[in-house]
Amino acid sequence: MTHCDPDFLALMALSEAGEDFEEVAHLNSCIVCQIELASLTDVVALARLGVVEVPGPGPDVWGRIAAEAFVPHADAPEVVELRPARHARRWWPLVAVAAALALVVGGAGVLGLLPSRSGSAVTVASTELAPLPGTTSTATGGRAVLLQDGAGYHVEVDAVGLGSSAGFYEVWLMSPDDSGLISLGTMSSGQSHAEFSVPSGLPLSVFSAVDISDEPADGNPQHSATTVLRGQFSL
Amino acid sequence: MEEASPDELGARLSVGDEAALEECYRRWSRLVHGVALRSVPTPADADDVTQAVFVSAWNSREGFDPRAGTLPGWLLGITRRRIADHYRREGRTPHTLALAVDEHEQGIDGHHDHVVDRVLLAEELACLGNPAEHIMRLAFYSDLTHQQIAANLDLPLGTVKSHIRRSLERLRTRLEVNRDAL
Repeated sequence: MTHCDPDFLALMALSEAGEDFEEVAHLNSCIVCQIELASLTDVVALARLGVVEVPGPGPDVWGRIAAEAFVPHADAPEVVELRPARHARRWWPLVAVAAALALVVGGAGVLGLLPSRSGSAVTVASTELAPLPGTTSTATGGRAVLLQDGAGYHVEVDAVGLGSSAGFYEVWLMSPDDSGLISLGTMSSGQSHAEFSVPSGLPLSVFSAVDISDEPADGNPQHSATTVLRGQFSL
Repeated sequence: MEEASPDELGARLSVGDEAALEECYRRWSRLVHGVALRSVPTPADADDVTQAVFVSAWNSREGFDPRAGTLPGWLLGITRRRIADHYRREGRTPHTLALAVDEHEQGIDGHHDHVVDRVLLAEELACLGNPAEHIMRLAFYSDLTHQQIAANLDLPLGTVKSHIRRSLERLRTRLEVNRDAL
């Protein structure tokens, strides 16, 4: 007979028992088909070893790439990029709402803050912010962007729907398993945009989650455990 | 959370969408860094190679041809060239580079180190597109026969069989390309 049916060899490689006597008999006597089967079996064996976790690059590498690759035009004014990195189309309406709210409220608006930073900043990571499942809050969503410039790291937060709170809202960087946290600063009811400096030397790969909590004004510096929005940087 | 398909991402990259490069970085910088780390001495060197790879990918984005391979495969090709550059800068000859790669590719007991292959295989699996990716995950990890997979996914038996065969052959080719490039 001719060589084995390729479909038969693929199933054999996946350890499905061969039931076709003719195919099995040919395989037993044909070195060409045996080699073909062995090479497919290698792929299956490799896949079944499972996924390996390898350490990723350092948290500043994306910033270095963006700074080198996205050279600004010489004649363009130097501005901080607020480019939404992912889900761009879905996000734009929220940016518009946030910007409009910022202008109406007259607080530290998106536009008002742009020229305040010297030098260009690059986006290191960004994440959408969302309420935790099962929680009730007026906050509906937002976005946090981790930026790097000559002065270090900064986190820009846009939040939609920070309604009346127990006292104020507090913005944190946390380890994803909640085992450690650093307070970045506060936001008030109705505030839609804020920018925080990240303490230098903070291991961002550990403190990679952004959390906004509703805090009573009781002087207790700990997290109230009432999270209204949460996001996770990929670092 | 929906993710852009590798094809869509490649198209966006080639027309100069900066967010597409950032998405590529998010998805494949571990692969690139992991491969680099096995050929250069320190994580800081691997960071340098990773930076050079994604800057090169951006600068040569018009050269990416989806018919010639997948995005992660293309990035790995660039990775090898940037690793060679790295050694050239350090003043090592191609001969010692080959030795260095060889040393890293051999485990301590002399067996081929499969880590890079496994990382690449996971990425290529994600590039198969559905239903092939779904079928192969069930075939690899769920211990289902092709009849059970066909019933589960409500697909004809012949369709499932040919997806399995074509996917296995395609994954094998991707791995061979990667090994040959070393």
